[in-house]
Amino acid sequence: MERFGRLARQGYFATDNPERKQEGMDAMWRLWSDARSPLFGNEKMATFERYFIGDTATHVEKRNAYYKFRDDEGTARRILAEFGVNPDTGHIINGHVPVRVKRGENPVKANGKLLVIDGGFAKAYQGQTGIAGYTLVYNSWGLLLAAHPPFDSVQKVIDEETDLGSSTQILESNDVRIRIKDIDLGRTLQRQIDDLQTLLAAYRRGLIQEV
Amino acid sequence: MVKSMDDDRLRYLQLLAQQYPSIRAASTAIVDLNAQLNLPKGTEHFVSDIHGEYEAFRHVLKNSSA
Repeated sequence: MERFGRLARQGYFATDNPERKQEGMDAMWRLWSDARSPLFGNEKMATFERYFIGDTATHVEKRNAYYKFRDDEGTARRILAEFGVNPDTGHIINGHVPVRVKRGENPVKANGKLLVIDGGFAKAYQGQTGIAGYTLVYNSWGLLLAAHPPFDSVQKVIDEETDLGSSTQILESNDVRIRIKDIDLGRTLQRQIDDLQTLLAAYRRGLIQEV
Repeated sequence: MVKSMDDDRLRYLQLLAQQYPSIRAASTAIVDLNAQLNLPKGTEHFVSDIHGEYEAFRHVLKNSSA
């Protein structure tokens, strides 16, 4: 992924070297629409077919293996491990894939290991999904999934004195609240404390003079 | 606590001493950091595919989703 990220930037910024720029642009094209792109989840991109061809048979974008494996807990666990995340506590969070609640689709996949949280802000997809979308909240009590109905405008909310009425679903909850010392930030802070302890000791031993 | 201290370590501490120039300053910082460790973790909100929909996005943020 890092290599692809570099290539995509190369396609934009390498203006001093046409060959390198072209290489980057080609990589970008493949990322966008190639069947084997790690980003694009379909077997082909039918954008132009939809624009120019009436026959809807040409518009079909067949879904790739992502859609099969995202339901498989074992796959999700292996991916987590591959990224150095503990598979028992970690989650994969995917955006960009509208969840078709209308068709009974659930944003929680792979036995809770994979969460699909397209925010559904794009109005173009709201007809497909039946709701606007999902966001994910991770606080000291646990993990919550919030479902949002379509949003028209602030004015409408004020005029009708209603609110969105987003509903939340608790995915995981902790008996003991998660404190800062339990997360990555805590490790950073603990290191600072350790260093300051050493500094204190250095002052007390006279290795460093107080100002 | 400090048994031996190599040169690099000492130079690092000298830099740190510029920020915490006394026992009092270093102790205060330790107490402060320790207190932070025991606070509940902050709330993280994961929001994707905003599609430039500023109004809707702002509304979700302001309502904190809950």
